[in-house]
This record gives sequence, C-alpha cells and structure tokens, in this order.
Amino acid sequence: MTKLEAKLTSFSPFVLSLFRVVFGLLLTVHAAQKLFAWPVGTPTQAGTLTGPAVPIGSWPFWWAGLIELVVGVLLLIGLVTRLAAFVGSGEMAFAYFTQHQPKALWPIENGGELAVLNCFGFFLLVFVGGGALALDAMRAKS
Amino acid sequence: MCDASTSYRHNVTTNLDTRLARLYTPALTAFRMVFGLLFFFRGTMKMFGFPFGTTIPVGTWPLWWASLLEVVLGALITIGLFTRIAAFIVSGEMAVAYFWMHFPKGFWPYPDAMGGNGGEVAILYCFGFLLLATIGAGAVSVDARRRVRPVAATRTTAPRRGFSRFRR
Repeated sequence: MTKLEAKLTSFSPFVLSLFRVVFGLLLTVHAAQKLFAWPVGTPTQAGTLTGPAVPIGSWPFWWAGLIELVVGVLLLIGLVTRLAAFVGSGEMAFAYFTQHQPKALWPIENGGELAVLNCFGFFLLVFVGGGALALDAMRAKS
Repeated sequence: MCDASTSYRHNVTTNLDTRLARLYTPALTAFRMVFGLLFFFRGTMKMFGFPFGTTIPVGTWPLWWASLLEVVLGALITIGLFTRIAAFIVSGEMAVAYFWMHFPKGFWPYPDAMGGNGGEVAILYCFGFLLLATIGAGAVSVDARRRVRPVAATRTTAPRRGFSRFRR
C-alpha cells in the first residue's frame, strides 16, 4: 500500500459515515414527500410538486413511504445501520422490478437508476456498517 | 442483573458483524461495478447515443467533455484500475454538474420526471465515488491484481512518482 493510499484509507470511516448520512437523508426526504407532502407535494399531472400526501395505507406507495421513513432516519443517525440498510436495499430492489423494470430495459430509460444506486449503496452498508460517526459506533464503545 | 443478557446480545451482534464483514469484498465489488457501469452508460448515451439518447457533437462544451470523463473513468472504475484517482475525479465532476446544471433549476433534488431539479442521481454518484476514492477498489479489481505481481523483489524503497503512486 502506498503512502497516499494509506492516508486515503484512514479517512474512509468518516467518508463512509458521510455517504451513509447523504443516502439516508435523501431517502428520508422521499419518505416525507410521500407521507406528509412535505417539503414538497407529490407529483401532479401538470408536472408540478403540489399534490396531496399519499392516502394512509394505500399499496404500495404509502407502505414504501413508511419503510423509507424508518430506514432513512435510522441510516441518518447510524442506528442499527446494517439491518436498516438491508431492508432499504430490499425495498429498492422490489421498487426497481415492480415500478421501473416493466417500463423499459435500461435503468436510465426506465427511471430506475436512482433505485439501482440506492439498492447497491445500501447493500454495501449492510457489510461495512455505519462508519465512525454513527450511534452504532458510540454504542459499541460504551 | 442484565449483565449476562447484555453480553450475550453483544456477542451475537459482534459475531454477526464479523460474519458480514467477511463478505465485504463481494459487496464492495458489486457496488463498484454497478456505480461504474451505470456511470459509463451515462457517458456512452451522450457520446455515441448508445444504448439510447441523442449523440452530442464532438467537442461540445461542457456535455461532450463530461461524457468523455464518464466513459473513460466509468470504465476504469468498473474494472477497478486506478480506482481511487478515477473515483476522486468523477466525484468532483458530479459536484460541479450538480451545482452548475441542476441546482439552478430548483432546491429539491427530486427526479426531473417528478418536477425536481433532477440532481439526486448526481448527489448519489458524487458521494458514492468519494467513498470509493477513500476505501479503494477491493480485492476483485485490476488494482489488486497488479499489487500481487512480484515486483517487490526488484523495487527499492524509493518513493513512487507520478502515476505509479496510484497503482496500488
């Protein structure tokens, strides 16, 4: 390992946490949009983000929103990271094959690129954990 | 009182963490290849109109140059060659793309089709590649193959210069 590589690797627990926070935050915001129509509403026919929240209990979007809220917040704070990431990764795979794959073959064409990136990003977190800046790391120390 | 159960739970968690950590290489490889390959296709879409999309005329600023970075560096990341430097450059490219192309359209990074600024994918690429730049390509990569070549016998301890410092 070169010196530069060793130096970069020493940053990785912190960059891993940054990565986890960003992915978790974006997932939380998607959940809040579905569940509470906040910070922006759901998409409307006119292509604006002013629609109402998804009706409680409706399948699959309200349930997707619920999973995204729980998983997103857990990832954001780094609590039970591996389990939360596993659930999130599975949800994204499910979303890809039910919502996006039927529309077109290529992930960029069918609008599922986001779901693929989230799926594999969370999948990595299952195995590497939440990094240095996480409640998991604090709990392990105490 | 709860010492026994706490320590039992601690052991179970630790063992699970250890077992998961052992599978880290396949997960990292899958992550690197998926991010690299999708990024590569973002480039070929602009450069060749493949697998679909409109070809950007050669030399157009900034989109053709962006596609050049995406094709070359996306391919390098996918096979895991010069992974760290390639990932660092495209992470920067995505940050520029976000603030230049997406951020002016609106604050919220929802997908274009949903009325947002369309920059969410750029954010995910940016931080995903930043992670790869610090964490490295993992054991299943060209970088790792180059590392096991028996060059150590002939190499002195002189510091590496130029590109060779990114070799491992």
